[in-house]
Parts: sequence; C-alpha cells; structure tokens
Amino acid sequence: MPKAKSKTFEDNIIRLEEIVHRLEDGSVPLEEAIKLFREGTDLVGSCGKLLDEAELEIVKLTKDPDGGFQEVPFVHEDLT
Amino acid sequence: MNAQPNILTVSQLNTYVKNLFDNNPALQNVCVRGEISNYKRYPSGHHYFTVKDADGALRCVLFKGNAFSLRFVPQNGMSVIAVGRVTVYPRDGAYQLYCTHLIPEGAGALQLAFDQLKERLYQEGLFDVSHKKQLPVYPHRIGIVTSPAGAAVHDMLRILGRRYPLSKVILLPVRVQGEEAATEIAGAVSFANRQQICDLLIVGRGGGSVEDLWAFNEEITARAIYASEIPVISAVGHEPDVTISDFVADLRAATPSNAAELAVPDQAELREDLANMRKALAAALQRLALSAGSRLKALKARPALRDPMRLIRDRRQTLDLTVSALSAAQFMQVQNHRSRLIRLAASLDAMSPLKVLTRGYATVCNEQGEYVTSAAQAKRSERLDITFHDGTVRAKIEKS
Repeated sequence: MPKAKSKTFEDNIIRLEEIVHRLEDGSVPLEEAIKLFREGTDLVGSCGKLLDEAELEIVKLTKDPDGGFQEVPFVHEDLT
Repeated sequence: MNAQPNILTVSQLNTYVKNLFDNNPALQNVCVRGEISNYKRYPSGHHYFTVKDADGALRCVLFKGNAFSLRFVPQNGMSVIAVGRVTVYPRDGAYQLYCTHLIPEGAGALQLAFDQLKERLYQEGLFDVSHKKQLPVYPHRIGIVTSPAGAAVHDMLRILGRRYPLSKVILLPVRVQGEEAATEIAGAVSFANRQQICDLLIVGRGGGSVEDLWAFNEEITARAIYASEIPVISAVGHEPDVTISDFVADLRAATPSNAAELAVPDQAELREDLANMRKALAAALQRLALSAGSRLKALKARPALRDPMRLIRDRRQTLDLTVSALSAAQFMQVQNHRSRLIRLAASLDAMSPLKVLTRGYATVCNEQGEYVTSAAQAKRSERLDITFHDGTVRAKIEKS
C-alpha cells in the first residue's frame, strides 16, 4: 500500500519544522545550512503540490455476504 | 326463583369479575397519575410497584417485555403516569394495572433517562478528562459513523474535502434513529477499532427531535465510544443538542459540519504556514550568510590577512636590528683589538732599537745584511750599511 498522502504531508511538515528550527538555531555551518535550505524549500514545494493535487478519497464500508467487509467507492450527489 | 343460593368457588368468582374487567373497554387503556411506592424489580425482570395518591393506591406490574422500553429507572416517590389495562389477578383476587408504559411526569421520560444515565456514567468516570485522547493533527484516515443519506454526511464530506483533501474518508453507514440505531452505531465504533480502519472517528447525525437523537443517548453507544482506542468526535444534531455521546467523546462538535472543521487542519492555513516557513528558511539562511560574512570581514580585518607582508617586514626589521647589533658588536671587538694593538705597538716601539738610534747610535750591517758588531767583523767587509734613525748610508771600508 502506498504511503498515505496525508502521512507524507505530515512527515514533510515535521521535517520542515525541524529544518527551520535548525537554521534558526544558527549553529549550523554555512555549507550545511545551504543544503538544509535547499531541502526545506523543496519540502515546501512538494507540500504545496500535494495540496494542489489532492482530492478527498471517499469509500463506504459494505458488508459481504460472508460477514466480511469491503470498501466501495462512495459517490455523493452534487458533492461540491 | 330458586331459593337455593348459587355457590361459586373463589376461582369462579374471580374469573367472573376478571371477565367484567376485561370486557369493559374503558379499562383496556387507562392512564393513571400517581406516585410510585413499594417499587421492586424481580430477578425475572418484571417490575412490581404501587401507584398512589393521597387517598388511594393501585397495584401495578410492568412485565419484562414492556420494561425493556423503559428509559429510566423508576424510583419510590417518583411522580409518573402509568399506562396500561386494568384487570384482575385471579390468584390474589385483586385487580391491578398491567403497565405497558411508564412515563415520568414533569421532566419527561427522555429527559429523566438522560439525566439518570448521565449521572451514572459520570460517577463511573466515563466523562473523565483524563481519559480523553488527543486528536491527530493530520488525520490520514477518517472513519465517519453516520447515515449515508442526508445532509449531515454531505456537509461533512464537503468540508473535509475543502479543508484537507489529503485524508481518506471511510464511511461506516448505520441507521441513526429507531430501535436498532444505538446497536448499529456502537457496533460500527467497535468494528472500526477492531479493524484499525482509521485514526480518527466522527460519530453523529444531523438535527432532529430528542427522540430522533436518542441513539446517541443510549448506554451502549456511550460505552462503545468510551472503549474506542481511536479518538472520537461526537457530532450530533444542532448546536443546542447535547447527548451522552458528546460527554463521552474525546471532542464534542456542535454540529456535523463543525466536526469536519475540528477534525482536520485547513489547507488555507497550511499554505500560509508553508509560505511562512519558506520565509523563515530564507531569513535564517540570510542571517547565517550575514554572520558568516561578518565573520569573514572580521577575519579579513585581522593584521595577518589585511597586510600579510607586514609579517615579513616585521621579521626583516628584526633581522636588520639583529644584524646591526651584531655588526656593532663586531666593530667594537675590532676596535678593542685595534687599540690593544696600538698599545702593544707603543710599548714595542719604546723598546725598539731604532729608538736608541735617535740618541746618536746607529746599526751596522754587512753586504749580507748581517749586523756587524765588531771591528774585526767590519774589516772583513768591503762595504757596510749604517742605519741611523732617519735612514741608511753605505760606507766603504778603507784597507790600510
């Protein structure tokens, strides 16, 4: 199963906060700071992209005859 | 007329009276107001009690099957309206009310049931703040236990999609009113936990009457929510509606829409956060570069880097000084030697035979340059060099 988009987003945000924190701490050597800055701006970009491209996935759980459950797509009328 | 009295058995009479009661339509569905006393619930599940007023008492029974619909626990002294049919219990020869419904007077049955359950669960600790779980900041999978039809689910999905479309929503369709609703809701909450299908649950429905919302005031619903390992947001009815589920849930939302807002972050704010972080990154890097720049500048200002030749010059000067000191020392030494030499020369000079010559003496040398110190020696030479203090003259020896 691919990593949930929301999970990726969360991980990115957490890493991003860590990077901002480290850069603001000011004790990072300049060369590493530039690397972190690059990574940070990349993360900002990919987080924005995740939000831009996201569409709420909706499924409905239905009972199987054998007592199990399965996910079926849920389409709600005029969901705008 | 036959004088012989018609003697009945007790049972016959009781049956006769019972038939009179049973055939009287007015006794088939009566509502009687009174106060409960002698209330007793038997292990069989049947309830026995007396309803009385100031002047009289009426025995009542509420069978298990009817007691099932009771939404409160009857207590002595409670003012109620008992509904049912009046008939005779042949064994005792006493008539009584066979209760089908028991409604508390005043507060209303539902309100009373609500208050009683709330009090009981509160005492048991189901509402404890310490039991409330933290909601995930970024829910990855949101389980919604509600009716798949209706405005509530529509509103929630719309708001979730608008605010945080990164989540996946899993609908657990249930009936939200009627007899089965509470069991279905509780079942769905337990199922979500057993199967670990989500990291956040929203349990609720749209607005309705108190009766419509009742499933969310049932104990089974409350206990399922309490037992949930997955954090639960309760989202029942409109703003003023408060249900037992609201008290047990980890977070109470005023409405289903409100639940959707509380469940997820808003992407508008997230984008703003991202923009701020981008700015913070740039600012931090700039600060770092500036401080590195000023460090560099400070370094450049240091004499070693500002004027690297200075070191050499300094060293050279030292060298020069050393050298000149050295030569001075040498000079002094030469001088010393020289003056000593002069002194020695002077004393030597004082002892010099030449000095004697100035006093009228002279030295005599033969042709070989040997000093001639006797006349005999002089006679053997033809010529002699006589040296005075100021020069030498040659003399010829005359042979006699």
